[in-house]
Amino acid sequence: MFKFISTYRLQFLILATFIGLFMLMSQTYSEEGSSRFQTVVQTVTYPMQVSVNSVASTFKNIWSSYISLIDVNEENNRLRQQLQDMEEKMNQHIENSVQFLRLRDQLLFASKKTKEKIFAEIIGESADNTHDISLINRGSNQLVQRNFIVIRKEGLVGRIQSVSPFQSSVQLITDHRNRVPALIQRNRIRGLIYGTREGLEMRQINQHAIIKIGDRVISSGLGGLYPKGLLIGWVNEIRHQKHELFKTAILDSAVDFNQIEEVFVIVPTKSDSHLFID
Amino acid sequence: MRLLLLSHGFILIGVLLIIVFNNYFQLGGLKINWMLMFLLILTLRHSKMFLPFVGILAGLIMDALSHGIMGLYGISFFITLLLVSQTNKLFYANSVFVVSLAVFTMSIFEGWLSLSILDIFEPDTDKSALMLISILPLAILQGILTPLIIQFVIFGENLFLGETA
Repeated sequence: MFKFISTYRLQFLILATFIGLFMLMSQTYSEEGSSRFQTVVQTVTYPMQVSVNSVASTFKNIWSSYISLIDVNEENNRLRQQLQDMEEKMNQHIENSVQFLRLRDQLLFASKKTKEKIFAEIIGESADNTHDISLINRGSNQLVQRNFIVIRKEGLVGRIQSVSPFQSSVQLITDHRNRVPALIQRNRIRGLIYGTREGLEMRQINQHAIIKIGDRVISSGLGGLYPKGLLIGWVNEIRHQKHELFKTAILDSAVDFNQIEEVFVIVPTKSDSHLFID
Repeated sequence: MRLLLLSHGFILIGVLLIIVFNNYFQLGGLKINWMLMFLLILTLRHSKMFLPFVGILAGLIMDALSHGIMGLYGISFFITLLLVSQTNKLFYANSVFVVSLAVFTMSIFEGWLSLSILDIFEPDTDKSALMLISILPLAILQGILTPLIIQFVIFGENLFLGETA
């Protein structure tokens, strides 16, 4: 037996390595949070990510400032003209805004306390082409945890996939592994948002549902991961063939994922019991 | 021993290129898999059995910097480099064109393998679309860039391996 093993030691080594890697992969896939190796790699690469990002941002700012100087004179004249028009409109808006402020105070009083948010900057992207992952500069040291939701003013961005002390990976809603339960705001028709390489698709919509181009799509809150009411996008195209049980809507995303630089991580409140930190 | 150190050096350069280059300079929106390219060319030039095992480390780093399913790229890099180390006699490794062709072929194989493994965990994965949109263009790009990388690898070999290269 020993002779057999020693004769085929290389084959055994390859087989053992393969089995070991597969077990590691299965374990990482099923367990919650990041693996130690990932934490180490992300912690080691964090200073590099941050410094590269800050150098790139500096150059970007200098360049954009230079470009804006070229057009500044022309823009100045245009703005003077606009200012005159705006002054007329402003008088009208002052009257409206008094009424708005009064109503807003009433609404704020009636609404619930807003959720706490952690501001984060995007410092990197996934190393491969097949996954839409962004790296942010907030990690477990800032109380970020797996499955916390990431948003922007415009709408839903994604969820925290893994966390290391200084940075976290955000799985964007455009990632092909992501699923977001959603509904059409106008008529409350449900579906499931799938990330594709082209953008977002709302699938599994009832074939008899009436959908219109331009309908707003929001998260439905089903499943408990994504809070209800976050804007995802607008219906841009509807696809349905007679033999199909479900309709598919192609969405225009509310967030421009090519342009995002800053995001907010929502810290769950007591009402989000599955994610709440005491 | 020197080749082992050199391969680790190339992994480090690969990580640096992934963080610096891939985030800001993408050719056609594609992120080049630098670590795989370096290791493929090294394995084609030196069919050492330890190189596939070095590939595991590169794959695990790639896993950590992308989707977080540890071992997915570890396995695909390992099998691809193992295949290359066993079949590299089929490729005349001193010809730039053939090495480019080998890198192109093996990039497709590695991409297909990683998607197939991902498909085990997530059967919803649209493998054919990802192959067409992501893996194939990347393999072509990596094949085109291979001559440049070969020059860099030869430079590294001359620097660290000296007469043994």
